Amino acid sequence: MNFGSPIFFWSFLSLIPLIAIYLLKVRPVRKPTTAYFLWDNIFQEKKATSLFQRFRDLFSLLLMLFAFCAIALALTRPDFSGDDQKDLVLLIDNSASMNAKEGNSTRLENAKTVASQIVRALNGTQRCSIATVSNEATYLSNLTDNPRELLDAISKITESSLSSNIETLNQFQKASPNPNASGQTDEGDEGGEANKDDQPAADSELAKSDYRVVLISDGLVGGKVPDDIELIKIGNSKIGNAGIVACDMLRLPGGSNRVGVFFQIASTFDESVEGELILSHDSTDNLTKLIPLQIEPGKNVAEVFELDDAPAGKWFVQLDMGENKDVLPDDNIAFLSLAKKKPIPVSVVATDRYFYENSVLAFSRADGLLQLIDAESEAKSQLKIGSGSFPVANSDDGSSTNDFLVFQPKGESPWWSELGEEIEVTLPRTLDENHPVIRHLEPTSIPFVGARRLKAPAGSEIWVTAEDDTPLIYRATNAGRTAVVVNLDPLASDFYLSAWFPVIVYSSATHLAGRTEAVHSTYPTGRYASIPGVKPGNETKVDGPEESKLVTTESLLGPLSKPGFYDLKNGGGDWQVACSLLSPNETSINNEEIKDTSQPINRGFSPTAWLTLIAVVVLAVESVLYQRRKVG
Amino acid sequence: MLTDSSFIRRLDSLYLLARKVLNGSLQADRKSTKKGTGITFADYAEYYMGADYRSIDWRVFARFESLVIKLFEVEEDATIYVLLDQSRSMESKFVYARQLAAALGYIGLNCLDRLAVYGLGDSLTPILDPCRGRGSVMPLLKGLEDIETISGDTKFNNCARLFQARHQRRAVVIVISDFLFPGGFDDGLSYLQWHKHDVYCLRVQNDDDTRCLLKGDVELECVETGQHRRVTISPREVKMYEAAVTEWNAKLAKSCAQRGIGLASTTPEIPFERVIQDILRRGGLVA
Repeated sequence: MNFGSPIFFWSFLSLIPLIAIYLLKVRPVRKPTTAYFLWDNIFQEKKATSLFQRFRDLFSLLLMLFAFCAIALALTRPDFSGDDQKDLVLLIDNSASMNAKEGNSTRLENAKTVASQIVRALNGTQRCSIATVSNEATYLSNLTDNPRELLDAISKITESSLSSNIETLNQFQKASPNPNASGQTDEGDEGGEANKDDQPAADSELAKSDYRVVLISDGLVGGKVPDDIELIKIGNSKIGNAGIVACDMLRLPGGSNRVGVFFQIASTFDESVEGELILSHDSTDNLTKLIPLQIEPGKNVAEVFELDDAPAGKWFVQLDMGENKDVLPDDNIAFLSLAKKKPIPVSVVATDRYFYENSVLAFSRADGLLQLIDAESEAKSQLKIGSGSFPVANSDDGSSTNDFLVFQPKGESPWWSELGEEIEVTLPRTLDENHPVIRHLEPTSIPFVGARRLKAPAGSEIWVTAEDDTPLIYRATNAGRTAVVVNLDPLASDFYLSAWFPVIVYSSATHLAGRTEAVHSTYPTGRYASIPGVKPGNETKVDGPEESKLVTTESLLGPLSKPGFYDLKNGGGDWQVACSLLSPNETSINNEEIKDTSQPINRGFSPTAWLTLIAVVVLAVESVLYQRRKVG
Repeated sequence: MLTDSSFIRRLDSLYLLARKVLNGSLQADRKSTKKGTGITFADYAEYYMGADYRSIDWRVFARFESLVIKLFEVEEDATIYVLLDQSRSMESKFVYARQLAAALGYIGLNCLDRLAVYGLGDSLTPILDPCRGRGSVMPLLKGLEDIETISGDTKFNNCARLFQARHQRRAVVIVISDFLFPGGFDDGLSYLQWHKHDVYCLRVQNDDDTRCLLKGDVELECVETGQHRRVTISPREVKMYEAAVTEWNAKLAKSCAQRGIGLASTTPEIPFERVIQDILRRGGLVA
């Protein structure tokens, strides 16, 4: 037991005059009465309380002594818990597993209660900072000793469907000089912005101070909690939960609407339980398939089934546990999006059409992403492939073609300038080997025969150059239209026969159409989804779950925080992205084996506050008694 | 001062009212239930040997041929005893009580009744020995003026016995007191009534008696005996006290009603003349 201000033990001396005052016999005023015998009768009837009457002065003295002792003890600021009263960084886990209901409240609500108790116990000199952690850290309160501010921050914490990420916690290890240097602030609201502004000051203060990092969590953080972080464990009961931990839906070759559905269930129930997997389309009521399941404890074997006629659109996979009490509903549903077939129309404008057409057909047979269209429908093509001086139509010519793949530059063209003589390329240089257009190529193995000296237009993105920096493969933009230029003679270099030829055709076509990354049927929460059909600088309107809307110019959407469907609209068309929890870590909700590693920490109102409150109550009681005695 | 001329004038006016109300004469004005020679017809009785033949009603004899004699009320002088509570409990209303005693005594003496005044305390204290006639008015007033309250419990029952021992002749007994007797009043009243006295109670109480104005911690002291005790008086105790006084007074009223004893209650705030007038207007000291 520690005392913050032991000097105030001297205040116990105030008891001496108090006792002295009470020991003085104060005689009440003598009042004559003509009917003393009647009073006698009255007080005979009240004999039961006479003992209290006799000792009430002593009782008053004891009450006052108790009140004075409580005040004196409160002044000494006692600490019964052994808390070292360092500054605190309170990390509150708001990952999906914290939404599990234990008793009448969720783990997150319990965590907030514990955090509030800790904040209330701050002794006035301690400072504290509040942050939430899931797959990322979000600071909600700057380092402060203002309990109101901290409690407000705690009250703002809301449940999320994000899964935990141990890397987020690793950022808070004390070895790091700045525990929240890599933590992301809540930039979504004004408070978040404010925190961001204040954060450097807070960081430097925290870095200087000796502080404790306390994680209030169920311990399911995707790994071992770092040693420097104390864990206050929330939830300790063995609870049953089953959920979908993996799910996917893909079109299968061999049929227009044939799809395969993959799913995996995990369970924390002690024994095998029965459940049903319900697949529905467009809405949860539109049942398409129902699969009875026998769910074993732990992670179950993944299963696959096929649907012969699955239309594109929104698909819901629900796990119905029937009478088995399931504590986490978030993992009982997966949202899947089956994209409509939307091939990229490609036309060939070259004299040697054969090789070009076969390069397009080579991949269209596999995934159908490229669709070769004939010369009559050329105007409808999204991409034109050809060689030489590529005619670039005006934007008002009625053609929908905006993208071009040009081999063997010749003549005048907006895609190059200063076209010169042929150059000899012995060792091409790759400037961005991870770029989608060339990441599947080996530029050094491509014989750039027939490459000519040229200059790429300003703003071009060059990926491969010759030794003299002549662009060999690059992207140029002009009047809202884009072209990938491959500076070689495909015929002279036998490039038509090279395996890289269809690869570069396919990768250039998908890149120019903004379709490089395949859109998955669903994304786990916290991940980023690539936005299909988007070109640099173009806007995409996003209409997400729970009526969240935004407009972005990014090629990635995310991190996706809310499970559900995101409807996207951009220049490339209308698209759909689905997001689901799908986290084995969050679904495996039992935390019996995780140990609470927290050191002593004050919770609730401090002993000082309680002692003061007791003193006030006792003084109030005594004043009532005094009023009763003196005034009646 | 009871011997002031102004006070005596007030008594005179009361006496005049008494004459008018009681319709008295020079003879003692007190009516008696005894039958005898008088002028006021009371009843008939059969003639008996030795009866005064002058009282035979010959008209009745002429009609019914039976001898009956007429009986008349005897008008005799009455004896009035005033028992004045002299205990300390009467301190605050003692002047008033003495005024009442003086008024009643004055009327009695002027009506040629015999009058004696005693003080009630732990024993009976003579204030005015039995006397008669207007000449005794001044000794009455002087005696009342000179007395003071005395300490000790009022032992009404004891005083009643002492009184009876001294005065066995039937009389009108007027008790002026607050009737807050620790020993009770039942025995005393019974004793007086048992000896055929016409008893009349005049209860004098003020607010200090009937209401409790005390609050909080006080040391209650009995004004008569000096006993004291520390008590805390809360609104509950106040209510209990006031209920106890009300009950005590109700008990007196009930006791008087059961015995046919007249009872009048008054407070010092009511002028004593008005109290006497009320008594006279109700036909005198009757129950």
